[in-house]
Amino acid sequence: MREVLYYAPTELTEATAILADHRDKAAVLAGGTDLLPKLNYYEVKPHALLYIGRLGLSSIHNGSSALTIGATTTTADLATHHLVQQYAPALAQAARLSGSVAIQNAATIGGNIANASPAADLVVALLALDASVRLLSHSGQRDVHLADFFLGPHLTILQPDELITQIHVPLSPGKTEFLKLGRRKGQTLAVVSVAVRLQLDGDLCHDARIVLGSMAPTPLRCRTAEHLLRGQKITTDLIHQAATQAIAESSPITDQRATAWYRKKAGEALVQRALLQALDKKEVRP
Amino acid sequence: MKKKGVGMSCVLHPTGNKGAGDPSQAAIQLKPDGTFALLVGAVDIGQGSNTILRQFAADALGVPIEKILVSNFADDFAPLCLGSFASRVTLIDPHAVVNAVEDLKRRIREWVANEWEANPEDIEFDGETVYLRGDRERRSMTMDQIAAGANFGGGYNPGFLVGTGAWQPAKFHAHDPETGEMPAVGAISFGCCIAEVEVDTETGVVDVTRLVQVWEVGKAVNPLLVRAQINGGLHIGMGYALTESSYPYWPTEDYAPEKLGDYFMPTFLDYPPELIYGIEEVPHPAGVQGAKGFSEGSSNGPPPAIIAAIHDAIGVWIDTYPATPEVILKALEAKKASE
Ligand SMILES: Cc1cc2nc3c(=O)[nH]c(=O)nc-3n(C[C@H](O)[C@H](O)[C@H](O)COP(=O)(O)OP(=O)(O)OC[C@H]3O[C@@H](n4cnc5c(N)ncnc54)[C@H](O)[C@@H]3O)c2cc1C
Repeated sequence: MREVLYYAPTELTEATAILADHRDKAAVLAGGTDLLPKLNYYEVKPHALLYIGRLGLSSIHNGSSALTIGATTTTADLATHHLVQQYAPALAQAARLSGSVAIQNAATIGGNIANASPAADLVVALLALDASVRLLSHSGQRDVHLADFFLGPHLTILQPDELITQIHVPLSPGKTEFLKLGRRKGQTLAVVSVAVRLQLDGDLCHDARIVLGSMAPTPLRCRTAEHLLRGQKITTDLIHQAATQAIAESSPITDQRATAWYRKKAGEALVQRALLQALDKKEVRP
Repeated sequence: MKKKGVGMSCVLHPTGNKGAGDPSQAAIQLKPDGTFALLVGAVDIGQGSNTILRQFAADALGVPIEKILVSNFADDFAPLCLGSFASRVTLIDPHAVVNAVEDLKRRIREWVANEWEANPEDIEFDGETVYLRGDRERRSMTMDQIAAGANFGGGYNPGFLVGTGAWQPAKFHAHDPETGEMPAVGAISFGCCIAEVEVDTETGVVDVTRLVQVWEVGKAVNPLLVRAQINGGLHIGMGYALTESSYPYWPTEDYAPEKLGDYFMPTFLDYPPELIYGIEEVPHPAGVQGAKGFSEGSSNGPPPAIIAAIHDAIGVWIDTYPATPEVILKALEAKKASE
């Protein structure tokens, strides 16, 4: 077996310097729940591992306009943290429905984003919340809307020398819901998942987000379906139309988990349900 | 929409072979410290055969269970057991253990009689005390003393006190060439399962909301283990009924699982919130104290009960396992098309 260098820096400048030194030959290691299976199956063969768990990036703060979540915050923390439950309940729900207790204790939000699976539960919720990510390299930092981050399955705009350091979730009003269908109730990837956010004024819909997981090469914002709802009076009929439209925007594949046929069929029901259930939810107020 | 349904299944499960032979062996040794080493070939991977075989040995010797050490790790040396399969161990191996204990007692009698210059037939056992009938006051030894004496010699004659035993339900019996008849099974256990499900008609997801399983087991040698086997059968049965598949879209093999992680067994979250079990005991004439096996049968009860409950809920008979959400939705569509 080839030797792999292992770094566990405590300073961000050190971490970005290591990434720059190794160009694309270093792999960032957070919880390892996505990376280690890939290492074990030789799907990736890095020369160096950069462990980022000692950089002090595991925290959740409440700013004036956004929640700031450190990249190595665990899924378990997201599921239970009072700020997440209060201001981003859909994210807390997505975290609760991710993997198992053991996985939740190790898995991180940064890893879920960087891994860029079309099924990533946290990402689906974060997209509905208009989240953005902060990317840091030795030469500077940039903030990118999560909606502009993904290019395809396991493909993102993240450069080899960049690290996700923070996730920003804007504090905005609305009613949200996250639903997930797996092949069983726990320890299962989404066959289809959906996150919605409705900004309402009485029964008038100001703005809407409808995001699907496992229904396209990346987690998918269904913009035409969202548009159908915007400025309209919310009715059951309209919700059905929006759900049909959301599925029309999707392009699921058949894999071991389900056929494309099933994903569309159940996905439509799930979107309808998420929108209807969101209406009954308590409004998030920043 | 969620629809509820209830279904029931009855299971009879053969335990142990009969006409095919099917023996097991056991050995038991009196150790220098007065404990007993029980050697069996039956493999215990958690089902508890080590525990119940210890119970049988302790009962037959009349000593506390703590005095029996059991080992089945040494399969290069262990006595033979045809295997932990066909729910056969509880029916067959206790006989081998009890026979081995009788053999050990015979060896102890002979050794003690030799020391006392007495007739082995006059040696009696009372738990951990061995004495000469009619002269218990003067002629009596504890197991510890016998163990020390025989193993270390000293003032006694050396001896290696080991008993062996073997048993099978019947000798080999060929099929009757005319009728094909043969005595096939050692014993039969009987079970009944009732499942209550909730079917989501839009997603096809089936939730098992309640499940009752009752088994007639001859003699519940260890009720805690019997309960674990009944409820454990649910795990295998639910997987069979609802999730486990190597070829989800047979006959297309393209999406077969590549690793165990792709093969879906239920988790605790999938278990019914209400899980009820029951044990019935009708002593079986072929078993030691009426005991027979049943455990594999407990995974056979849930699948038909769940499928019947699905039928009760949505009026469709699912005729392929597993009844995945996809299978359910397709069946509902077909039903709608035919109406
Ligand atoms: C049994 C099991 C069940 C699972 N169930 C689910 C589930 O239900 N839902 C779900 O969404 N996911 C699930 N996953 C996937 C996984 O747990 C999540 O995607 C998790 O959030 C990944 O985080 P991590 O910290 O473990 O990432 P790692 O494995 O450490 O990293 C994943 C990838 O991201 C990169 N990376 C990590 N952090 C950063 C960073 N800060 N900056 C730049 N790159 C980074 C790594 O280099 C690697 O390429 C499951 C995984 C397993 C093994």
